[in-house]
Amino acid sequence: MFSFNTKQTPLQHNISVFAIIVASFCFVGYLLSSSYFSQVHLQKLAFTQAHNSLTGKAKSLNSFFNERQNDLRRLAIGEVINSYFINKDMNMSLEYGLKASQVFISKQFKLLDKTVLINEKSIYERLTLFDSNGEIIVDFQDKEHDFLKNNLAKIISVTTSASIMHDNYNHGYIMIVAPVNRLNKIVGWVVGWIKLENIHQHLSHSNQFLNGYESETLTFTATAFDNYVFLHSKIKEILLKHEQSFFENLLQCKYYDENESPVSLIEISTDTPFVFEGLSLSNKKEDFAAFRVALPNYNISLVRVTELKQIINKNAPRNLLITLAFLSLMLLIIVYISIRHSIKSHVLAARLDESEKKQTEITSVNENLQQEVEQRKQTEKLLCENEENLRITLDSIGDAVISTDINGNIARMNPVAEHLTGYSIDDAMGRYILEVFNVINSETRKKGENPIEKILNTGHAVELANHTVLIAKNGTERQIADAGTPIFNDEGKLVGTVLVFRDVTDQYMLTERLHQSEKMQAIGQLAGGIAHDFNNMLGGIIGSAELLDMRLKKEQTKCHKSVQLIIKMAQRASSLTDKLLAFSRKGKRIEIPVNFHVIIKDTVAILERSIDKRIHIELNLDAVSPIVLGDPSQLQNAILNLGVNARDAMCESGTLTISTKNVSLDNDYCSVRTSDLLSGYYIQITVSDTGHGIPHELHKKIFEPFFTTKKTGQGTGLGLSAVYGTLRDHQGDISIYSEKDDGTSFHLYLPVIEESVRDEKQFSREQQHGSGGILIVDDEEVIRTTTCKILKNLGYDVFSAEDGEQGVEAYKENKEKIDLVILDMIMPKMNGEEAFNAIFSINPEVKIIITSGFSHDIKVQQLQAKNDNIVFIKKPFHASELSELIATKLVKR
Amino acid sequence: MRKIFLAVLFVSFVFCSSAMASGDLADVKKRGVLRHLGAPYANFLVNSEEGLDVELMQLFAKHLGVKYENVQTDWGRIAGDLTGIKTRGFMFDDKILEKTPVRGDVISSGLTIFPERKKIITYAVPTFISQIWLITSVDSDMQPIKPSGKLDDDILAVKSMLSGKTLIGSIKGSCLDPFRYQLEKTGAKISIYELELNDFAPAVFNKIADVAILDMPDVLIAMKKWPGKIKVLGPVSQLQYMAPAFRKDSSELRQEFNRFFKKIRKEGIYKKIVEKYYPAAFNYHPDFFIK
Repeated sequence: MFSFNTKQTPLQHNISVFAIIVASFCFVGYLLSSSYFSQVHLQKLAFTQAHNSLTGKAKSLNSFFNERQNDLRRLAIGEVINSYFINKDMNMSLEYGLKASQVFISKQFKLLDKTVLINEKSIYERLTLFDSNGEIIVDFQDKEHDFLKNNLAKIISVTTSASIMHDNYNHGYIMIVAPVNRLNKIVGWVVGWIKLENIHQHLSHSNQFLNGYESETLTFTATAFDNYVFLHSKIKEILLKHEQSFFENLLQCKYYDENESPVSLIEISTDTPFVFEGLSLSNKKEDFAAFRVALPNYNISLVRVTELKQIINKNAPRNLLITLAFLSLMLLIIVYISIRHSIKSHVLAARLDESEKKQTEITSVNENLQQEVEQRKQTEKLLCENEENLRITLDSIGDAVISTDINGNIARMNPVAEHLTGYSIDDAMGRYILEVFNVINSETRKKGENPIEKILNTGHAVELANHTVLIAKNGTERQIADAGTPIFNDEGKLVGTVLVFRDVTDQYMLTERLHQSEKMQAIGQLAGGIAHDFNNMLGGIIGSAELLDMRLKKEQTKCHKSVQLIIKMAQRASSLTDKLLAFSRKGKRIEIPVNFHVIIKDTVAILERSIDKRIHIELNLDAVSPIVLGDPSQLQNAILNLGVNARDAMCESGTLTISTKNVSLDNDYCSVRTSDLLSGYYIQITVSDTGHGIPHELHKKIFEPFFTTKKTGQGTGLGLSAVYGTLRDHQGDISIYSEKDDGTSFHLYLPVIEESVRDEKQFSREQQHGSGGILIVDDEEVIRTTTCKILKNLGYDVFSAEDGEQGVEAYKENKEKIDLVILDMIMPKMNGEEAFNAIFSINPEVKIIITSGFSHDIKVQQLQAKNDNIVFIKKPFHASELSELIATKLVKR
Repeated sequence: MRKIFLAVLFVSFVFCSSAMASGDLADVKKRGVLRHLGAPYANFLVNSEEGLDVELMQLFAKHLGVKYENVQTDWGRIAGDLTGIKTRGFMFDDKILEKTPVRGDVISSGLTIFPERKKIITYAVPTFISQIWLITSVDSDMQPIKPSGKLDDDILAVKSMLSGKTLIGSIKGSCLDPFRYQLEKTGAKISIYELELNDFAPAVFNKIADVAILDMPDVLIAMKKWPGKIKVLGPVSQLQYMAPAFRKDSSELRQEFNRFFKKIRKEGIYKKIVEKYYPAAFNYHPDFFIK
């Protein structure tokens, strides 16, 4: 309610309070006085209103009388009445005419009676026309003529105004009179009687008395005429019920004060109400007010008497004054209390203010703290997230990561590092790096240099030397590649190191194998080339020897033996070249389904005849699918070589075990092999011995040609290389498992097929004669010359060419004569494939025997796919082999 | 011989006419309509729907249970319209033996009862009372008589004033025929005009004539219509009565009317009708209308 400026001084505060109090008093005083005077004014207004109400009624009544006068004046001046008087003046007799005038006047009265109504009743109680002598000419209500006559004097004394009469029954009538003038002379009067009762009914329409409604309050209106007071009969009846003189006096509109002085209410002033004491209908003292209003045009007054409380509440001003005084006092008390309260409130407010400020500050500080805490939390969270991210990152790194502090002690390891070192982070944490990171040189087997020490000393990143082998806790050795870097803080200070390394053992092995493969391939190519050339030479030797043998006579036995010896040695030399070719995968090879179990059994049969009986041969042929596609001879040689090596390794006694089983090689295995293995279903042939084993370091070399551990002359060093080549040539693989003095096991892998085995085809040793034209295309003169001679001896017509181009030209020129072409694959200018294509384009039906010092390779297979008339013979070939093949081809023509 | 022949012939015509008329009560009821013959005459018959006689006959038709039909006619032919025999002008006589179609059952139009008329018609009970008065302009020096209480003396007094005065009367045979009242013997200069009754009063105050005779009802109307312009000097006739007229062979109808009239007079119905059209007349002879 009251608010004070907290910065006010006590003096100012007191002045404020005093000012408020004074203002309050002034306001209250103003309020009281204005309210009192308002009430007084309202009382006056009420009186005025009541007086005005009565004045209105008086005016209404005045107008009413005026209208009635007009009614009668109209009649008086009307033709009907005038014509009567005229007729009368003309001495018309009633018998003859004048009566008619009376009738007409009577009709007019009747009409007036019917048309002028009040409350649906006729206003006029009576209408009469008098002549100047007072004789009744026409009387609408034809009765009581004597009464009218007796009052004629009074009547005729009234010229222009109304007069009041009351009849014998004291009913009270008001007469309205209108003179009839003729020739400036009053010749008669038209008089209308109106019952006052009817007027009062009209005037007091809402008067509860007249309406028959009884109320506790006494209120009525009286009509005063001269000294005559007219009250409505019902009012009279009510007043007459009370015996007190007050009521009796009211009947006369009189009042007697305490001094018995009479006051005629009909004579009171019309300006101000007359207030007097009286009795209510319940005989209680009441104040009354009387108002009088005079009608302007008539000697009539209306007097209204009413209980004062109906108009005003006399005590209202006083009551209001008291009420307001009380309210004001209450207000002042409230003000006082409020002021006192506000002082306390002021102090409290000040304290509250201060505490609010502090609260605000605290809140602000709290908010700041909260923000800071929130920030820190977020920072911590971020740090944790970063830490977690770092951990996850480290853990996700595929390489091993070890970080150390400035002293080289391990601070962190990721799981890869744990795996490779064999130490858990808990074991390694805090240890010196070398205790965990144990590395040696794979070649020298000496301790590797400490990378951490180098980093800490130099402050630079380092890479460890190649051939670094990490020895895990359990002794597992792994080839690793690693690098280390220093760790600097934001200030650039060296605070630690981080070592990153990975296991490259597989890669190393792969690289080694790749190198080995490339080496073997290079050696193979070299060997193949040497073998090819050598075979060509051998072909010449064998061919010439066979030719010579053919020309020698039968009795030249020694010569025959010498020639046979030459052929035999040449064949032996050819077998060596075969091995080389086998290694180089260029030897003669046929592809037929072969049951490897049969190969093994045949080979074992051979071995049993050649090895020491003390060596036990054990077979475990468990493979369900032993059929492979390949060359039976080469495959047998491979097993034979392995068997011979095993025999040699076991010296006096032992067990040679040959076992088979089917295996499924997956991509993972195939990918780490140096051979071009494809995943699939294989037969694994294991040849194991219990011999002296092969040191691990020699494992890589044993398949190289001419590598042998045997003494000079005890081996060519081509056996295992041949085996290697044979397996590779058959899309297979070989691996060794051996340790010194621990025996050796060779695992051979060959892809199995589902075809059944067919019988091997054997060549006849007899030379077959034939006829037809044969074109020999070979760049080796020896081969070409020898072959030509052999064929001629066999009865053929022979054409020859020394390269592909000549061969094509020779065929073009002699194609009608040439039935068969013997075509070498490896030739200068135009090789065998090109020559074939050229000849084929000339004659797609041409029969061709392809020769080569290499095995039946893919190119030959591709050519054979184009033409069914193509067959292959490997150099060096026997004449009988060739003659048989030629005979077969030409027979088919 | 000739007179007997004429008499027989007359009677024959009468009977024939009567036969042709067929207007008695049964016939009226059978026909279902009461044909009321009326000539315009003051407030007795203002038009086909207004007039004292119109309302009287309407009530009579209602009494009979038949429709009412107002048959317009004029005073010159009204008798023939009832009897079927032409009469001379307004004369209700039997001088012309000429047939004419019967157009009505009853004449009720302020027809005054005169003896000579009874030759050819039969009156019902009187329904109105009247008298012939002498009127003059209000500014005439002729003064109304003072009633002596004896009508004959009053009539003589009036007639004595007529010498040398121009007098307007109506057609012969009518109630305003001056000759009916021997006014020609008064020395008055009689002028017969075929005027409407409404013109008689204006004729005197317009100085067309000094005096005029007019029946009382019309005098009263004239006094109301022109108040202060005419004055009544006095009577020139005895009291006269008016009554509806029927054919001689319509006795049942006539009697029925008499019964009807008695009833409505007793009930005060007829009083109201008279007050409506002739209030002054009613007041002049109230007993007649109430009795």
